[in-house]
Amino acid sequence: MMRTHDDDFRPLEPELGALADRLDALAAGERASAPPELESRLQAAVDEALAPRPIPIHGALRRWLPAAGVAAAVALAGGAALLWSPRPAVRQQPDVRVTAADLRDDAELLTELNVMLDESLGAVSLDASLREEGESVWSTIELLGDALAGEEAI
Amino acid sequence: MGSAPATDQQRPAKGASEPDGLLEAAAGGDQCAWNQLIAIYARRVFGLIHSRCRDPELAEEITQSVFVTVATAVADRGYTEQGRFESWLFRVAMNRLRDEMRRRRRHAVPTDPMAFGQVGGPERPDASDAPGADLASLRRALAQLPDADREVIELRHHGQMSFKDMAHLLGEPVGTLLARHHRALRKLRAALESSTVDPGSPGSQGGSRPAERTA
Repeated sequence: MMRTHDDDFRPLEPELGALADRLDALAAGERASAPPELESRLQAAVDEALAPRPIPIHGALRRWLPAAGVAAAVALAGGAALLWSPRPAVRQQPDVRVTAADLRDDAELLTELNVMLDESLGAVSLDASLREEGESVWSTIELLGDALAGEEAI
Repeated sequence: MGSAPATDQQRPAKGASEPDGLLEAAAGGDQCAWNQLIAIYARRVFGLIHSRCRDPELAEEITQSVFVTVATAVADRGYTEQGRFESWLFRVAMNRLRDEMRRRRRHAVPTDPMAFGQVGGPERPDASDAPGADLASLRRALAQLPDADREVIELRHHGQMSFKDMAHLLGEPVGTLLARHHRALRKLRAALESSTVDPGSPGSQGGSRPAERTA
C-alpha cells in the first residue's frame, strides 16, 4: 500500500483504507499532470520577484528633470539678456566707443552660454513641446550672439 | 498504485516538513534553497489547485502566484510563523484558489457550468485521467462532496499534508481533523456507490450531471 504522508494515519476499515489509496493515486495523477517545465517556470517567476527593483526616485527624476532643464534654460536666457542689455555707460556717453575686444568678449560669453544651454537641454529627455520652447530660447541667444559678432550690426 | 510517483521522492523526509533551514537560506537570496523549496512543494500545490479548477493553465498560474507571494514575503521577512511553513504555504494556496473561484463565479458565463470542477458538469479529459474510468469516477464522486469534506481530503491526499500541518492550517485539533477525514471518506464511498448504481455516469461526458447536486 502506498502511504506517502509523514504521519502514518490510516483508516481502520479496510474498505476506507483502499479508498484512501485510490485517492493517493488520483492525487499522484494530478501532480503528474503538471507541465514538465513547472519548476523551471516557477523558479523564473520567483527570481523575477526577488530581483532588485529600480530605485523609486528614478520616476520622480524623470518627471522633474525636464522642468529643471527648462528652468535652467530660462535662467541662462535671463542671464544672457542681462549681459547683453544696453549698458548705460555706452548709451549715455557717446564718446566712449565699443571696442572690437569688448564685442569679442561678449560674443565668447554668449557662445559659452549657448554651449551650456545646449548641454542642459541635451541632458534632459524633453518632450517635443519643451524642446521646442528650449530651442526658441536658444535661437534667440544665437541671434543675439550673431548680432554682437558683427560690428556693423551695432 | 504500487509505487509512488517520481515527484513524491522530492517530498521532505519524515519529520522534516518544516524546512526552516532552507527558508533561512532562501530569505538570504540563496537560489539553490528556492530550487529545493520549489522542488518539494510545487507539484503538491499544483495538484491541490488542479483538483479544484481542472484547468492546467489556471492551476499553474495560481501556483506561480502563490510562490511569488511566498517568496516576496520570505525575502521581506514577512513570514513570521516559524516552524509552520507548510501550513502557511497551503493557506496562501487555498486563499488564492478561493479568490479565483469567487472571481470566476462572478464573471461566469451562464452557458459554461463546468468552468470549475466543483461548480458542476462533466470534466475535460486530461493527463490525470490516464489510470482510467476508476479514477475518473472517483474524481466525480469527490466533486459531489461538500466543500468542507473535500477540503480535508484534498489537503491530505493532493497536498500530502500531515494532519498536524492541517490542524495548523485549519485551526482545528488533530483529533477533529482525523474524524473529519474519516467522515469525508465515508461520504466519498457513499457517493461512489450511488454513482455505480447510476448506469449512465462512469466515464461518460454526456451522462448524469452529479455536480448539479453539489452545494
